[in-house]
Amino acid sequence: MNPYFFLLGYTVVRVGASSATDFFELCRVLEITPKKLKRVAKTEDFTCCFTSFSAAKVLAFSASRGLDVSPLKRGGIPSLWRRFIHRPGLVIGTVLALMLLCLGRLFVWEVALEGCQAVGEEEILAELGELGLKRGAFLPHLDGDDIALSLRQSDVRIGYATVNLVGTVAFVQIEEALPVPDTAPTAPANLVAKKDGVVLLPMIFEGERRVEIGERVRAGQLLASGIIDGKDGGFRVTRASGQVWARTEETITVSIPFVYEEKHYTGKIYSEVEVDFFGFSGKVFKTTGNVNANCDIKVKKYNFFAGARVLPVGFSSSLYHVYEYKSTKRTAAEALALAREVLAARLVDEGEGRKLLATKVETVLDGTGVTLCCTATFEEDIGLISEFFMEAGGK
Amino acid sequence: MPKRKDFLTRFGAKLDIPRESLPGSFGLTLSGQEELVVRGCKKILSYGKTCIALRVGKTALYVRGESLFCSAFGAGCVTVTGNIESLSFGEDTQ
Repeated sequence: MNPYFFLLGYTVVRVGASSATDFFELCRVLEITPKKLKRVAKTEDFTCCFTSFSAAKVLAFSASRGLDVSPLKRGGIPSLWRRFIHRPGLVIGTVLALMLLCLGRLFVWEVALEGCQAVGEEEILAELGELGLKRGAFLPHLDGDDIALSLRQSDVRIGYATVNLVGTVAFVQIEEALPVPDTAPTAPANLVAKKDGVVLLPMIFEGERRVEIGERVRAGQLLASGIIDGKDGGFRVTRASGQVWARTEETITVSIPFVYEEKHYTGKIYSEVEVDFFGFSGKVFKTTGNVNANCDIKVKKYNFFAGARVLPVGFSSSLYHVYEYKSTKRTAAEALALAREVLAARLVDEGEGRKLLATKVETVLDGTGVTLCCTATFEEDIGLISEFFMEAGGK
Repeated sequence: MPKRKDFLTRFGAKLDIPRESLPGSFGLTLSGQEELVVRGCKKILSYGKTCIALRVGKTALYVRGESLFCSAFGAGCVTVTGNIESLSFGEDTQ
């Protein structure tokens, strides 16, 4: 398309073969040259193109002289404008786009974070958001140095932070604080039993042992004392520590009912679209967010890119897979097999950090389901450090 | 007996003025066989695929050929394009 025609608008005109002579005579008189003159092979008619202004003139004169001339197609910017002026959404969208173009440089488009290793980026971005630095923040109201100082003060894990505002991007550089070495606690303490058991091997590193091998202890019972009697009638206070290995018992109960509720997908899938604009999200359709049924939601986010940079404008589509619960029955054998499976998994979980010595399983079958009562015997360290406070004067 | 030249033609010849510059006259410029520029065209008498008739001065100019078009109008000029085979003058019947 000729850019001149596109700018001024154009009209393609059909001229009947019978009116060709008068039409061209009219063009000659008006001194208007038709462009893209073509002859239609079948009908001997002509088609030609004029600017919108010339076409209006030619068509008016042709009509007054009764010539067989009719417009076929209109195009170009004036024609587009006439079409779009009747669609307020497009006009408003164009105005908003222009406003965005003009006002966009006044807002933060992206927060670029560097230097995060142990500290999560999401966490820092949330902290920065609370301090006012986030996508869509008004740039003239931001003070990079003030935000960096507040960030350093609010999070002890951050040793150093800088905020550089370059254009519409806030570059945040983080230097994490070095970890402080742990200092061993020095408060006086006793070693007590954290659960019932039979002592197998008491290994007391510090303090005075108060239990013997084979002795049955109760939870909370003193295993090693942090107060040691002196030979001269006084006493010495220390932080008792050690490992007291004991045989313990634990009851694990697993119940599997015969009737249970199973998730069934109905096959209905709803989809919704939300627009994300500088952190604000809004509905695109009236139905967005109106799904009330039980459903699994899969959300996909799409962002627009300018080169490698993510723009703060995008949309997210959500797929709602609707499901419902249906009562289902299982046989006793199936319930028993499942109960054993669950019990095995529980024993593996419970045995973490201790040694499983023996198990004794009792199966109870009733009208509602299967219950496994398992008494598991473990070998574990039951020692627990319990600090106590000593006032001056020995109280 | 040869036709007597009109007054303007004789006047122009005396003063050495090109005939085309005088009122009521016309000029033709043929570029190859594809383009004919007719200056001083008064009217398009007929317009067809194989023949275009133009009133020039007091006579009619018949441009014959194939796929003929009047491609430009302006300042009293008409440009005829196409495969021009012959030019002839005749009586203006309209």
